Amino acid sequence: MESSGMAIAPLGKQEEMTRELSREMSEVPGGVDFGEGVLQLVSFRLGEEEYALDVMNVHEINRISDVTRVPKAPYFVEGVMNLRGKILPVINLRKRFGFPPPTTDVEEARTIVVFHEGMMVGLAVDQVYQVIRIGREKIENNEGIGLGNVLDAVMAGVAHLGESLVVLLDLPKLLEAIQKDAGRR
Amino acid sequence: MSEGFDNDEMKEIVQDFLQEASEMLEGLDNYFVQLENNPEDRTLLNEIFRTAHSIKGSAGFIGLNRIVEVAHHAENVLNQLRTGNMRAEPAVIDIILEAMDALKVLVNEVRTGEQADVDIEGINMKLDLLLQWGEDTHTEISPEQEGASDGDMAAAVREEQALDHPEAPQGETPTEAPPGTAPSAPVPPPLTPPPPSAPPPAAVSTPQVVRPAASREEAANAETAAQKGVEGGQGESDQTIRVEIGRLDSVMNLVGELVLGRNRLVKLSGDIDGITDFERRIKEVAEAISQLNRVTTDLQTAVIKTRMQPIKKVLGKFPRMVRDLSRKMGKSIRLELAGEETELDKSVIEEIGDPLVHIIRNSIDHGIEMPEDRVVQGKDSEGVVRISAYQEGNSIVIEIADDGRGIDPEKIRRKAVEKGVITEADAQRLTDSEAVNIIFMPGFSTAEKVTDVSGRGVGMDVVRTNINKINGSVDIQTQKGAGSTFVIRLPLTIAIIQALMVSIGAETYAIPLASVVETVKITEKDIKTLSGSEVLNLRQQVLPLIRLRDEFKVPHVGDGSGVPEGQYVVVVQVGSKNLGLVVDSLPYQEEVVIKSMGQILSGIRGLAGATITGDGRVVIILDVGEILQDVSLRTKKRTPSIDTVSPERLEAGV
Repeated sequence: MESSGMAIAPLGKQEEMTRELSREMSEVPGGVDFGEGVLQLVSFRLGEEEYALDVMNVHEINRISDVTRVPKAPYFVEGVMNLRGKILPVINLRKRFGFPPPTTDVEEARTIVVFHEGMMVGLAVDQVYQVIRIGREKIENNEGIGLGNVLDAVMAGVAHLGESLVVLLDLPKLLEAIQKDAGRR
Repeated sequence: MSEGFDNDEMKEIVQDFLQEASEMLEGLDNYFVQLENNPEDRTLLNEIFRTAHSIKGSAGFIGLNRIVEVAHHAENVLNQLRTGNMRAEPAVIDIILEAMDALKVLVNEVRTGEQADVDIEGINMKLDLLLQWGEDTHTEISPEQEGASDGDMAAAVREEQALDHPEAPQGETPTEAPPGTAPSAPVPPPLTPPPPSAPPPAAVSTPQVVRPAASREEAANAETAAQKGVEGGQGESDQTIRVEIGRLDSVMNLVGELVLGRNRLVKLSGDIDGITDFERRIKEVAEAISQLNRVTTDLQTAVIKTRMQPIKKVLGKFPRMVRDLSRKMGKSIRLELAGEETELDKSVIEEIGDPLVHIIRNSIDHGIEMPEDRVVQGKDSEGVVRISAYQEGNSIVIEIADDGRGIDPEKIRRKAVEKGVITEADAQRLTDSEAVNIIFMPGFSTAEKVTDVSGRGVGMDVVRTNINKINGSVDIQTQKGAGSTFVIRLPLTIAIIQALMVSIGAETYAIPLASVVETVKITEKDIKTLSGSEVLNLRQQVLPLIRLRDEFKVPHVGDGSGVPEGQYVVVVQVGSKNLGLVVDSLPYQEEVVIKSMGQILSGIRGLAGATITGDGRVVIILDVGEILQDVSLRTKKRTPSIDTVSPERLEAGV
């Protein structure tokens, strides 16, 4: 696979994006010095709920561009996109998690391009919020709290950010589950 | 020297071997160095074993017994390493490298024709001692044992290795290369256990009949082993290709023109101020662009040409193989070759060797009859296998024809049911030509008895798999009693294909032009149904249709009323099967680069991948072969094979 090149090239961009985004969110609750016990997360919206992914898995964030539908693809695959000459599948997280189709503000919709072990996919989400820095101790490790099987299997925990709850997704598990479902077809 | 070669053909085979062996020995050097650092690397060990085995096999094929001998002993040691009975310690690697060096000297000996001074016995003895020592340590745990009677010599050798410089094992090998050269000249040791009669010229004592058989077998082994080696090496090892200077020159020239074209455009875009004659400027730009267009096309062709190699590279090994095989089978067979200069992409050349070996063996074993039987049937007692290669449009066709007994569809049906490959009901539904194609299914072999030439039920399915892998197709034409012809169609190059773009609603798809026979404009009323399947009566032939709009569930655009007036049918063909794909329009043709859609989407039937068009959109490329297979499976479930229905009945019935 083309993983080796992939994994190195994105880092520069990632740092840049992290820096830029974290400037806006310097007042984020839980934001402390970078260190061992601190996680950096990209948080995003699906419906009315907030989710987050480890920033180390995020390659870049794009506006939704032309997505080509792929016939006979699993229901949660929106299609394929052209990322500067590389073709990536785009996963619709709403469909994957069983949300109803969006009703408003398509304007804010984004594709988060994520990668893990040579696999690179776009995740279509309703809106990208910010990069959060949060201490590990603030994350409740309550896997399988009954949010439905699809979600339980891929969540790494729940973080409390002031008033709101953020569901932290485990990307490797998510990709693995997606691949498994795609293969079962 | 002892192994003499007296004809041109042999010279060529030897040349190939020398080139191959030198490259492989070169590679083994690096492998062993890597191995020393990662003694547990299974992949590496397997790769080494394969490479070494290939060298031994090839050497045995052309009767270079001295090389086989050394390679064989080395192979035994490598096998111990591979199975984990011995560790790749520096002392062990030393001895193996010494053997590699000896092999290099021996290979060079073949090249120069001068007998080199190599102490084969000495090296073999060392390798054998190493083997014993390995066994000892394996059972007794410590390599430092002192007492064991066998261990004595082995330990001595080992110690000597450890104490003195590692590269140059000394002792009983007066003939080896000077110490300093040891690491630079590794020779690949062949690994397969050779048939006892193969390596030593001692075979003189065995009956004449047996020896050719053994060497033939080895040749065949070598064939596959070599192929495997090539496949296995792809990706990691840097592969090389020899290119005629002329071809590189033409690339160079075209790049020069490309630069000129760029400069011209830069200049035209530079001085925009003070343009008065816009029309003229536009014309100049258009000219520059059309020049660039032409140069890019030529450049593409030129670069593809650097990757092209004559198919002779593969075919050249077959005359000997056929001769040996037929001698062993007691058959009399003549091999005819045509179109050896036909060129194929390097990657295609590498993949096509294995399938060809299987097909030729199949023809010799199952196709050609015994001389007596042939005479009874009024045929020449000598059978003919004819391999011809030629270019046809955008593909290369390789035909392997024999004038043997042909394939009996009835027999295939019966065997297939017996073996559970298909059900009785299926068997009756198959047309003769479909029945014959069953031989490509896994686990099918009709050989009455298993011979070592063929009949193990592997082979023909490998043929189809390998050929499909490179976007090719294979088909059989056969006539009982008159012979069979295997027709292989291959793309000229793998990565770039000509594609026909088709539109359905708002979506566009690409169909590889190689599988398109023709396109036909039709109206809705031209489409008939036959037992629930849609078909088109095209020049008195029934053509099954599928509507890509339904097949791919393409969403309707606009108010939904929009089934367009006219439609097109793209007639595609794979093997002997035809199918019509119904689409809305045919906007254009384009040369496309096939790209993967990633792991998640790689398994979808009917899609070969995707490409990016000039305007940056992603367009899905269809896999016509898979669509055809799926459709014919479906129609078989629904109706008795529609291929057998005559057009008359169709017209009467609808």
